[in-house]
Amino acid sequence: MTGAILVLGALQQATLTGVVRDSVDLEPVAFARVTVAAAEDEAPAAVAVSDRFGAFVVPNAPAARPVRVEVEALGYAPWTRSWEALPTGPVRVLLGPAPVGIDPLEVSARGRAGDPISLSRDAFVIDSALIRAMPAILETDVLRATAVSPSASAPSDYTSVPFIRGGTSEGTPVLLDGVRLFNAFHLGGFLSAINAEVVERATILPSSAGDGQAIGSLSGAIDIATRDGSRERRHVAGSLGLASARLSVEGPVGESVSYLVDGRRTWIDGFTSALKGLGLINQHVPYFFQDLHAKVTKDFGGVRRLSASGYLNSESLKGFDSRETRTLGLAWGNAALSAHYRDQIGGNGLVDANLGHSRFTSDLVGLGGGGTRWDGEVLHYTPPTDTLLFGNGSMSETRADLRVTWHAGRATVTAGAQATRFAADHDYRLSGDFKGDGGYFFSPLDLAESRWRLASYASVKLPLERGFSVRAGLRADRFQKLATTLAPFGELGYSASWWSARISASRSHQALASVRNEEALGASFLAYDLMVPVAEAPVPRNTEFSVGWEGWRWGLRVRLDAYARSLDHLRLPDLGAAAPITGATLGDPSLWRESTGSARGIEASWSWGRDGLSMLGSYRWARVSRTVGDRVYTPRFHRDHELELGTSWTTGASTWSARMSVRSAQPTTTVEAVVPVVRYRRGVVVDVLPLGGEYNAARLPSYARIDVGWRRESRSVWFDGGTVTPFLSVANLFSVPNVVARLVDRKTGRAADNVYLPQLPMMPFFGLEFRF
Amino acid sequence: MRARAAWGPVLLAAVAPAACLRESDPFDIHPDVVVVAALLIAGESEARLLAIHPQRPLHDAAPVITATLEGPGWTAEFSSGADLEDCTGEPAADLGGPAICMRAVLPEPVLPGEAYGLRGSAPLGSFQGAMVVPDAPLLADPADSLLLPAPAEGGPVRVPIRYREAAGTATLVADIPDYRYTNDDGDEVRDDASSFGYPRELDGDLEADTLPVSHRGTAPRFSLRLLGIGWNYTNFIAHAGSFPLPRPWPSFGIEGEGVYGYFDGAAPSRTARVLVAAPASGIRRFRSIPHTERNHQ
Repeated sequence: MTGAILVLGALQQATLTGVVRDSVDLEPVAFARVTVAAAEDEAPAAVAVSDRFGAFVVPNAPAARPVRVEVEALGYAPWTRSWEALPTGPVRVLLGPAPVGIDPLEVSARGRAGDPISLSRDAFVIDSALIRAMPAILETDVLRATAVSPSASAPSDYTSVPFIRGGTSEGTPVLLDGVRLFNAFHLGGFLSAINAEVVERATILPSSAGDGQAIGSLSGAIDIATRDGSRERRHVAGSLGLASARLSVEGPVGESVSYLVDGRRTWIDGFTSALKGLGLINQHVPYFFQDLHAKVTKDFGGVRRLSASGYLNSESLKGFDSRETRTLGLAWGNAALSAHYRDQIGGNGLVDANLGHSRFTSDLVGLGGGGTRWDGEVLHYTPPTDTLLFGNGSMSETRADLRVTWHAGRATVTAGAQATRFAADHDYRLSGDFKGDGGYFFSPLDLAESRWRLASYASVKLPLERGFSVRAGLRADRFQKLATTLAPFGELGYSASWWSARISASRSHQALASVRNEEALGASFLAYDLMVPVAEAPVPRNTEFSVGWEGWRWGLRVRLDAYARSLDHLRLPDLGAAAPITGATLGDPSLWRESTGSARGIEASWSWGRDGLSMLGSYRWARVSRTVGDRVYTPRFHRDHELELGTSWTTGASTWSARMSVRSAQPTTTVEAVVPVVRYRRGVVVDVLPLGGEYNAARLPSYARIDVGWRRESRSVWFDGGTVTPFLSVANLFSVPNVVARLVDRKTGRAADNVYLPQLPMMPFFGLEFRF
Repeated sequence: MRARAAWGPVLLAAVAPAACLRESDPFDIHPDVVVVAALLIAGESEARLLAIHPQRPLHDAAPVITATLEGPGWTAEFSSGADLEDCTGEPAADLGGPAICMRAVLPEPVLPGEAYGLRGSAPLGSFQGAMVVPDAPLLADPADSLLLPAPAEGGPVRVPIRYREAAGTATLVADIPDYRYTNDDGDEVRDDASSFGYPRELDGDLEADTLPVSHRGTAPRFSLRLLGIGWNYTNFIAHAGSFPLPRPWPSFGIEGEGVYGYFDGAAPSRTARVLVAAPASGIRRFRSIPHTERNHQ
């Protein structure tokens, strides 16, 4: 009898699928809430949320009777339809933009994903509107915006790529449309290499649990998704900033295809050349970067879609100090291709297939042997011609990923298979003369490794009775010639009317290790990383436990997370006998030692909004350590406390924004004595030997910074309408003298002093964005 | 370093306009800290010890310390009275604080391969040190005397050497303790070889090298010897720089409360005399200099 009732119930239930799109440009709308209810009932019978491609699957919807479907998304008017019976085919939902607030963050334009805290329990989601709401540092920057997440911490003002929960860059891939982008920045890390104009959202995945399972990395990921091109009409958008110009063109091709092409080119080289020509500066900076991105999307109807993205960038510095006796030339470049296909399988399933390839190349040459000679009348200059440094390298990753998401009853099952090949070949050589300079950033390097990684993974999400739910998953990896590993995760959740909580445990592995030495001073200024698969087992491993709570009341949303993670089998450089801060930033892997790390912390984030005023804040306390041999230390990039507050206020066409960062100090080594160096028969030159205490046991001065921004969107009468948005921002408004490191300086006839290397000073930035 | 040099101007250009650099601040280090530097040279019957108050202003009083050198079966007290130049090699060395050069007369010359100790007291407490003088390096070539032609197109004189490092040596240097030449007036002038890079470090593994020696005036002549120096001095020099060397430090040969520095030994090879022929004089014969005269040229 019971079985008959269950069967009858099952027969009376069906699945609704569809895609949510913007009614103007037909771009997919993610994070839309879809509810299906029987026409006669007030309470929803089934609920789902659209994914990054706007697709939704609502299982267990009432069948064979009148139903009402409601769709809501931030920045859009609610959409409601009623049917006599649940549609059997995919539903196309077109949402009309409406400047209404249905979430703590007030919006005045369509396209907001919503509150970054509430969109995903696994992640912190920063949408394009929030990225623009931040005061610009040089220009609107997607990677800098991610630092509002309590899980993300920038190691210095000079690097835009944050570290996640005590991990470092090699453990946190930056993904662009599903493919890993190496060194995704320009200007040594100051500016992200991804054009903010085309970014739909950036998602910070802080752990390997949940959505992070498919990434298979040590320390989460920064997942950047670009938007589809407009299917309404052709649009041209761009910006003119202090450092570069950006331009994007998008539009439809026929009924179902859209394209988006965007590019950026700096004018630092041209600008400094002009200034030098005017006699305003002495030194031209022959540096440039440029990037180009293109995306084509084909909509086959329903949830079926195919998209392909291509990305290309380059960066070059040629003979910067060419009037000196030495010179350096470098060229870096990135290329990435990705394709994604989605289809429906059966009535309840979605299949996603991804293919991607990414490649980073580097080329360096350093010349020396030049000289100057004064003959009493004329200074004769001999240009440098001896090769002191040369090298080139490449890293590439090729990935194929097939994933099926299946809604079976109340459960959602995800299963996938993945094949990844990583290849690295780095060869840098330095002459003795170059090494004599201290090997500040480079050291000799000769690495060539490639490895396949084959993986399969599965997870299930199942709501239980009385508000409880579980998620569990397992990932199996075969690292070619290294190891086979299992990485499980499990989570128990509970949801009440206005709050939810969860507890989870997870594990992850990766074979990649970095030659970066985060203890080197150069690591604070340059974010470049060279990675290579480890040559021998065991592979690096992350084990993590976390507890989370989230609540929302009176327009205020608060999320708390506590975590503890253990990082094992890391490859870190030995601290060595010298001061570690003097080491080469891109070091020699022969100095690697199998090491461990740990991190634990508490993260809080909150958001609130009303009447055009919105606030977003986060606080993080954490302890991070590394153990190399018998030395345990706090890495130089870490701060125990970080408070970030962002606020924006929209009045009329103007938006004012401010961002405040208050952070505790980074580690340094105490100076116990400054000893003049008395050399045999050479007397005392100004040299000193600063004798320090325990490594990184002391702290630099703490950090505070306030950035402010203003932008005003106005209608343009040119080009048949459009908008023009001038923006102005000031970084470090009060010019707080934050520091990145401390060193000992002794000048002739004086005792030695502590001298500080600065973080970003007060700097204004301005520019103009336009969209036609 | 070149990478830093390349990015440095970009960074400075960005930083300079706002001039919001944090001002430097002094160290919180006790002003009575004393730095002690003592390097015993094998064959010498005198030891010198330099003591500095690096955290005190130059016009303050020099450190007041006691120190005793412990040799094989004997001790020798250091006493004040030596010129600073005897310790530093420079007449007016900037030592970063008030300093004193102390001297101890030894009952016997310092011996290669022998262990020595140092004990004493300083304002903040006692200190002690220990070291073993390295064995003397072998200077195989040149022989006791060498005549070289003057360089045809100017530039330095090139002296080929062959050598072998000895046990206990951490740093091997070529030293020119005495350099003279004849000036245009025909007078003999003595010069300091440190002005053209001596003592000059050698690679102990190579066992052969060519030393460039500045050619000054007419017929420069100089003495050349090698010096093997121990690990304490080498460790100390190797970590000079701008950033603190964290604990655990390598051995510098001295430990004590409020006392830092090094205590080490060095052993010289035999000395070779080198004469560079004056181009016009056509000197073709060179008389070997007797041992007894070598150190008095």
